[in-house]
Amino acid sequence: MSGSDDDRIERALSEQRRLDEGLAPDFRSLLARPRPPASRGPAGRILVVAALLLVIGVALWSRSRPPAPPRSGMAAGSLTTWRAPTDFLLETPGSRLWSSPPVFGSVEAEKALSHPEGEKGKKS
Amino acid sequence: MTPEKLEQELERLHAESFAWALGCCSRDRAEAEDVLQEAYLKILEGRARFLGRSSLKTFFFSVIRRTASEHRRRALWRRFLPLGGESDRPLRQPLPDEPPAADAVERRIFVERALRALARRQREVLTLVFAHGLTVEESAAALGISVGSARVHYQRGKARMATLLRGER
Repeated sequence: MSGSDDDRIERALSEQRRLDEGLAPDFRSLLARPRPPASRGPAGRILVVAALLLVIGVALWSRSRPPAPPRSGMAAGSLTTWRAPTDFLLETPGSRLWSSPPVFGSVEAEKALSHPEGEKGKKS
Repeated sequence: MTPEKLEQELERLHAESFAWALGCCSRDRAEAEDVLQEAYLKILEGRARFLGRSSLKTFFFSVIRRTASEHRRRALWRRFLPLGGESDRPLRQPLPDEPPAADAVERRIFVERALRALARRQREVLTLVFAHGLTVEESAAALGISVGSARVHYQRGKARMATLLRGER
């Protein structure tokens, strides 16, 4: 690095500084100028960060909640009471016997077992 | 130092301070004016206090540099979180009346391009030393870095700048 390099840099930068100084606005008018819009400042930044944290918190909370039960109560109710229109075809004679476990000693069971309805017709 | 004396000193340094502010604001004139105004208000309202540990010029240049950094950070925030606040910006002063001569413009562009090719710290140290006449130690104080670090930036920046001004790559 030679002295001429130093001189060259100094000349270039001093010249640039002189040109920049020529662009300077008046000192008094700069001071009297309305202030640039105030930045949000610490309070504004805290508000923004708090809002972001709130959004993130709500998102995490809603993810960690157990899934809500399906809201199809009415549909489920109507399904349990629904009857097929052809259900009456299944109501055959003596079907009551198969709808519940037999109780030994009951009159109906005894009758049904000793006199089946089909055999009665054949004998007579 | 009394407030009146302080204001007089700031006025004396005004043109030079503006040149420094322009360098700190990537040569954005409007931003440099905002930064300089805010730096003045910081000092005159006592938000930045001159304790006499360095020269007033070194102290004031460091206030300008810090204020410019704050502006850059705010601009970054605004870019990602567009929260308004720009609509009531005052109108800027027009550019200077007479355009400079063509060769002066060329020369200026050449020097600006060379400066932009340097790292930011190198550019700042070289500007403070060669354009504003500060020592490397004073430059370190103005930039808030160690003297050793400032020396490294100075040496490397000077070598690179000399190459660029000679028109080499």
